[in-house]
Amino acid sequence: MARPVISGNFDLESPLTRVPPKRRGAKRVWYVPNHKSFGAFMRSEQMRSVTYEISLDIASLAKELSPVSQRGGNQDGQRMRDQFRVVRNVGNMRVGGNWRVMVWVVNDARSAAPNEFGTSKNKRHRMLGRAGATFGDFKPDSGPGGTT
Amino acid sequence: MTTIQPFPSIEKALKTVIEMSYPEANGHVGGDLQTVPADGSIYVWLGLVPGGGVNDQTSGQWTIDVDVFARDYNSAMMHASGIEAKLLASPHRTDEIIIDSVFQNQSPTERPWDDDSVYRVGATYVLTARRRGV
Repeated sequence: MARPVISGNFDLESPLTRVPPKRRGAKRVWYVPNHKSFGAFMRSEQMRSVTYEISLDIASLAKELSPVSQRGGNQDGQRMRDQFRVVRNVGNMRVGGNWRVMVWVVNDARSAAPNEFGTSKNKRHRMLGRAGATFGDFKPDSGPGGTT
Repeated sequence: MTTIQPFPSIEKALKTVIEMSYPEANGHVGGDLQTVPADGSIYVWLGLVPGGGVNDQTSGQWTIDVDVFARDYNSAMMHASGIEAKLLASPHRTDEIIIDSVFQNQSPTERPWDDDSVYRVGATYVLTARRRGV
């Protein structure tokens, strides 16, 4: 059986993959990920600022999704939907084994938790859950930007 | 022309998975907060987070609450942790759906309930699932 004749540009390092030949004296470049540096970046104040900005959007959306009380709020006239606030400096948390910055969106109203999770007497509105899911849910491949 | 059937209910699949993998919950899984037993016996409530899911009839991703009701806090937390351990050990298969991955969004935590004689511990999970055979 005759050997197949390979024709083509033999100046290439590999005619199949079209890899150009190495130049004389050229060195291969290897990418070595610096996990320590990347971890520090993910816990940096720069990342906290981005997280804080998103948290403000979540708080704003949660307010829009909140039910409106017919009773006009508590004794101070404060409605539950107006009491969402963002706490910026609450430290870090582990996500998938890695430390990441954490920012809280909270609501101190007594009716917030029953409205969020529902009870036998309160309809479940899930304001924060729905607002948070809009911006991602900690899964690596979710959220509008592809990452969270 | 290919006809695609509606995506099978993810809540129904999760109910099957919990009842099969956690025998203590068998027959006590539902989706109605009005039917929580007042005697404190175990009840596992499943509720999709509205707006927390997308699917394209072959695969999808959903955010779902799994709340456990029981007589006391320890019992509720024990069952919630037991279900958590089973759910996180994905993949899970039912007749219609394969749940490829289960990610925990919120770990078991006490949640409010009207009746002080019943304790509620809930967790939130994100499921990635696909229609079986795809």
